[in-house]
Amino acid sequence: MSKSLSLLLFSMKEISNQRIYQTLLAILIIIPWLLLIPTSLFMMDLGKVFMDMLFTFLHLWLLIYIFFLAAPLLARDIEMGTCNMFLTLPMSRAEYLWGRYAGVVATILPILLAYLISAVLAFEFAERTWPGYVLSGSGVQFTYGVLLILLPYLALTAVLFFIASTATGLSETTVFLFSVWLLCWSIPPVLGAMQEQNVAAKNPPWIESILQFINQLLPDISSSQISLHLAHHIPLENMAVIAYCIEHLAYSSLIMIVAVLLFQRRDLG
Amino acid sequence: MKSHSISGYIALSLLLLVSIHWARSNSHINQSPPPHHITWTENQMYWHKALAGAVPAIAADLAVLNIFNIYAQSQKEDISNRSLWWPQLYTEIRRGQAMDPYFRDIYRLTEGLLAFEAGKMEQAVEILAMSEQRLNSSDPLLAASFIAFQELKDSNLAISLAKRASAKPDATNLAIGFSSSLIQKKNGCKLALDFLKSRLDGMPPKYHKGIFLRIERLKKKDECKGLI
Repeated sequence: MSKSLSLLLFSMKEISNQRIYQTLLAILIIIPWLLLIPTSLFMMDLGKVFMDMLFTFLHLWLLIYIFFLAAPLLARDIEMGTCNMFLTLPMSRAEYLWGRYAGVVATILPILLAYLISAVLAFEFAERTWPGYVLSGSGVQFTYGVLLILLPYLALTAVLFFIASTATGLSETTVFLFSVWLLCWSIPPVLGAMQEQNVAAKNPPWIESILQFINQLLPDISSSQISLHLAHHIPLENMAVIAYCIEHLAYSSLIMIVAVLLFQRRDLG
Repeated sequence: MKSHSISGYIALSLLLLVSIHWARSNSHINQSPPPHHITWTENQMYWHKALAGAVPAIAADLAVLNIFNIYAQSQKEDISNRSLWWPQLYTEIRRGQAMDPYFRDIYRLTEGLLAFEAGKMEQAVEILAMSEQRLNSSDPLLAASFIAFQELKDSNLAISLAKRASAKPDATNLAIGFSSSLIQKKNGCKLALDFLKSRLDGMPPKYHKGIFLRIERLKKKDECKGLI
């Protein structure tokens, strides 16, 4: 356990010392304030528009983090044999993978916190500047949304570890991860459309079955209804939120267990 | 020799900067009106939803920005050519409504631009009525009722919409008064004028033109002349 904790701290230090991480941190402090400029173009639902933009940026920078910071770190470890340095400590392969995963996830928290604080302060400013157009308590709704939207990305990070545990290098990891993300992004809305009667009537049922099957295998990153409801201050059902949290945490754990099993059987020579 | 090469690079860089500046200022291509046959289909909505993925609300925001752009482009045309832009205006409004049906700006632009500017009254009433399922506000339904009564001359539809508007939790005296007047068949010019003036609130001044035109038209009506 202490070895995994040491690796967690080491991973945090390793990622946070990179210039791209520090640049991302600085940009995310400024971004909420810059987004107030396009927000002012709208007419009535200014608070909603501001929150939409903030949620979109959240998705964007979480993807940047996973693709440009987490994926190269892991691929480098395995491709260049850096992981052998840890594994000879001695540290089991399971401890190594869990430690790295915890480190990658924990390093999101400082930038997430900086983004949240800056956004909440920008909401306070917007509420005072456009009273009536930005509902009070928007900062709280946004914080709630951020915490919920983060969960699917923990699952996507677990998918990264699953891919990297068998992939030969960075290119392979990135291509497979991108494909998974693309499917995760587009399949849920397509499935939603296929529930409509007029669409269902036009398509053979086996197409929907195949899409449903693929969707069950992938992490569900479609948090569209969460962001849509919170941006309009429409309360979320408690049971649905609990189920959503359990789904993502269980999915992340399951994929990490499979990744560990695959990594333990891998020839690192 | 070294100083020569540095000054050469500086001169070349300056030349390139001047070319970039010239090219940028001369490469503006005037946007031509979109094809007139653009129509909104349900399939488009599914494509847009698939592309928007986890962020459909931002797609609705972008649709609103497109609506502003379409309106600005249409205003550069002669009055006779402006109608070329209206099918695209309708498509963007439908896209915005499909992506985020809770978005009040979409309904306000439907009323202000699609109805009063483009004159697409039936389509505007259809979109405004869609707000009933999603919004607690009586505002879009009231606007739909007014358009149905004043422009489409469909009293039954107007009464039905006004009743639904009055049932909303935020129904104002205006909404309740309007619906009761409709039910009692008290068509009043002053009522219509008050209603139109109330629609100017919350709408940016550059989009007031369509509403002002309706007010002027109302004032010119024979039956309204003595009352206003």
